[in-house]
Amino acid sequence: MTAVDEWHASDHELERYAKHTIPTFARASVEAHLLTCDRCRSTLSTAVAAAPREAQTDETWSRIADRIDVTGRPLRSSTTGLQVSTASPQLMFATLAVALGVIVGVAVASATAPRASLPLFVMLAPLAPVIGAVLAFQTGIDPAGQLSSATPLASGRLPFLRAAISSGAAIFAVAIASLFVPVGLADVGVWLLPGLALTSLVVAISTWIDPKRVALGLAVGWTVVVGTWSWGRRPRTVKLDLGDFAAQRTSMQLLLVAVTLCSGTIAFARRDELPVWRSR
Amino acid sequence: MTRGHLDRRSDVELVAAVVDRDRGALQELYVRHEPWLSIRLAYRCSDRTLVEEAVQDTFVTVWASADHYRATGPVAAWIWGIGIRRLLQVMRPRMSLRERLLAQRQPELVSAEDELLVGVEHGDVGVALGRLSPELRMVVQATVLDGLSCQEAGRLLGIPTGTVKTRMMRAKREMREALI
Amino acid sequence: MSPVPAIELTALSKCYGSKVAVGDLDWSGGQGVIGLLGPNGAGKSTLLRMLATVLAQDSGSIRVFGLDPAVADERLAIRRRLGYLPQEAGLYRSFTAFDLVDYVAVLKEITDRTVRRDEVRRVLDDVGMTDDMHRRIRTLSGGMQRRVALAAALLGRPDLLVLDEPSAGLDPDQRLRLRTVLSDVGQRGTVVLSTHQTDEVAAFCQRVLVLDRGRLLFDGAPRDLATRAAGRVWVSESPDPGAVRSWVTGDGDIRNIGAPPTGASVVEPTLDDGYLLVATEQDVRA
Repeated sequence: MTAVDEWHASDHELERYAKHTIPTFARASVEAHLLTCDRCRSTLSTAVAAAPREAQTDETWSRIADRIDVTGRPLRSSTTGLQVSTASPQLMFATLAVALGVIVGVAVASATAPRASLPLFVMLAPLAPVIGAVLAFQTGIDPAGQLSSATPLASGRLPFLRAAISSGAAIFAVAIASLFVPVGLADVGVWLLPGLALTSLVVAISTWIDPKRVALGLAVGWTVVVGTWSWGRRPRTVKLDLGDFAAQRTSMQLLLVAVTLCSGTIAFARRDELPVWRSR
Repeated sequence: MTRGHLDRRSDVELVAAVVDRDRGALQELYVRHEPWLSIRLAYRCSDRTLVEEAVQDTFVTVWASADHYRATGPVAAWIWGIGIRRLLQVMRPRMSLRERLLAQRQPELVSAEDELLVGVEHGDVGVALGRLSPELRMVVQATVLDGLSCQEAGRLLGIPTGTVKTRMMRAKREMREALI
Repeated sequence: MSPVPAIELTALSKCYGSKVAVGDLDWSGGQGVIGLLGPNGAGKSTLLRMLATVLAQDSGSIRVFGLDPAVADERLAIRRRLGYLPQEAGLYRSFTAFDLVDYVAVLKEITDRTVRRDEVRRVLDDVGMTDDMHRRIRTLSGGMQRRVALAAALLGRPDLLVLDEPSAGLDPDQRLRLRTVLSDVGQRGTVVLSTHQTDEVAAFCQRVLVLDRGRLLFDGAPRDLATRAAGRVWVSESPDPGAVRSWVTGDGDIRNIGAPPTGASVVEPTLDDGYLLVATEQDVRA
C-alpha cells in the first residue's frame, strides 16, 4: 500500500469532487483513492464542512443515534409491564426452579410410590403458586431492587405483576404435573381453585403482614387439611376416589371462587400497602 | 454532537470498539466517513433524501454488524460496500423475496476488481474509462468501481442483468485496446 | 422558598435492636445541596433511607414536601418527585447501561417511548456515559457502574435527590462533573447527600450536617463548621499533651486541636479541623 500513500488527490480535485464538477476519469481515481487514504478523506471532510451542511450532518447523526439507542431486552415490543416483571433474572430462575420442582416431584412420586402421589399432588398443587407469589415479594430476589426501591411502581404494580407471572408459571407447572396422577384437567376443584384462592388470600393478607409469615401459616393449615383427609382414607388402589374430597363439591367450589374474587379485589385496592421496599 | 477530545484510534480499532458496543467509536467513524460517503452516494442518486437515508442505514448496519468486518481490506471499502447496497435498497424498497434472500447471502465486500483498481490509481485506466461511451462507462462504474454484482448493477441502472454482462464485456474489450 | 420545607423531621428515631441509628432528630430544610458528614455507622444511610421512603421510622415524624411517607398515597406522591441512589446499588449485570436506566425509567412511570429514550440519554450524558451506554454492565468498571446508578437517580428531574455516597468510585474529573449536575438540581430542588470526605462537603454543599451515633452535632454552612475551630488549632514541634486531638501533617508538623496553651502558634482552621473538633467534643461529653 506504500505506492498508494505516495500519491494524493489535490485539494482542487477534492473540492471539485465535492461540488460534482470533476471529470469522470478523475472522479474514478479520486473515489478509489479515498477508500484507502485517511489524509484525503479528512481534507475532503474539511472542504465540505465549510459549506453549510454541518447542520445536516448533525441531524443525520441524531437520527442514527435514535435508531441505535433502543433497548435490546427481550420482549421489547410487548407491554411495559411484562418487561418490568421479567427484568429480574434471579426471580425467573427461582420461578423455573419451583415449577420444575413440582413437575419432577410429582413425576418421581408417581413412578416410585403411586399411592402417595395423589395426596402429594393435591397438597402441592395450591402451594406452588403461593410460593411463586411470595418469591416475587422478596426484595432479595431482585439484584437491582435497591436501585429501583424508591420509584413509584416499586412497591405497588411491580411486585404484583411479578407475583402474577411467577404464580402463573407455577400453575402451568401444576397442570403439567397433573398428567402424572389420575387427576383429569377437568378436576379443577382439586388443583386449580384451591391454588387461586390460597394465592390471592396470601397476597391480600400480605398487604398487612409479612408475606412469608402469611404463606407459612396458610401452607401449614392447608397441609393439615389435606393430611387429615388422605390419612383417613388409605387408598387400596392407585385410583383414589376424589369424589368425597371436599373441594369437589359445588358449594365448596363456589366458596373458593368467592374467596379468590374477594381477596383479589382487596389486594388490588391495597396494592401500594405491600411491605415491599418499605422495611420496618 | 461535537466531540471534545481527539480520537486517535485507527479505523480498524474503532470497528473493534464498535463490536464492544462503544457508541463513541461509532460516532467517530461517522465523523470520519460520512462526508465522502455522502458525496460518493450523491453521484449515484440525485435524490438528497434517499442519499441521507442510505447514509443513516449504513451506519446503523455498521453498528449492528461490525463483527462482520474482516480486517482484509480498508474499513472505508467495507463501509462503501454497505453504503452502496443500502442506497440500492432505499432506491428500490420493494425487492422480491428471492432478491432479498440473495442479498442476504452475498457478503458485503468490495470486489477484487476494485482492489486492483486501487493499486493502479490515477492515469491510463482513468483515461481509458473516460473514452468509453456513457452507457458502457456507467456499467463499468457500477460493477468495477462500486463493487456491485451484475444483478445489483442492473437494478441501479434500471437495465436487465444480461445487458449489464454484455456491456461489461464490450467495455473490457475497448479498455484493453485503449491501454495497449 | 416555598411555604412548606422540602424536608421536616420531628423527634425522628430509628433503632436496630439496642443500637441507636438515628436518635430524636429535629431538623428541617429546603432548597440547595445539603451534605451529611460523619463516620461510618453515624446513621447517615439510615436517615437517607427514611428520607427515600424505603425505611419506616420507629417514632417521630417525617414530612417530605409536607407529605407523610407512612401513608401509601402520600408515599406514592413523594416517590414521583424523588430520586434515590442507595449506598450499594446492585445492577442487572447482563443488561446494558441503557437498558438498565430505561428499566428504572419505566418504574418511574415514564411511559412514552420517545420521551423515555431521550430522558435516558440525557441522564447518561449527565454522568458522562454516552459513549459506553450500550455496553453490558458486567463489562463496566466499578466507577462506571456507580455512575449508571447515579444516572437512574437523576431520571425525571426529581425535586428531591437522596444520594448515599454519590462520589464513591469517581475520579476527580467525574467528581467535578457530578458537582455541576448536583448544583444544577440544587438550584430548583433539594439534594441530600452523604459523604465522609470534608473537602467534598466544601465543594458540593451549601449546608452541612455532622452526624455521629444518630445525633446531630452541627448544622450550618461549611464555612461556619471551619470557623467553629477558630483559635483552637495550633501547630507544634511535638505532640501537645493539652490537645484533645493531635496528628502529624504532610510537612512533618504536629497539628493540634483543643484549647491552645499560651504562646502557641495558632493557625487558620480548615473544614477538617472543624469537623474533628465537633466530633471530638461529642466524645469528650460522652
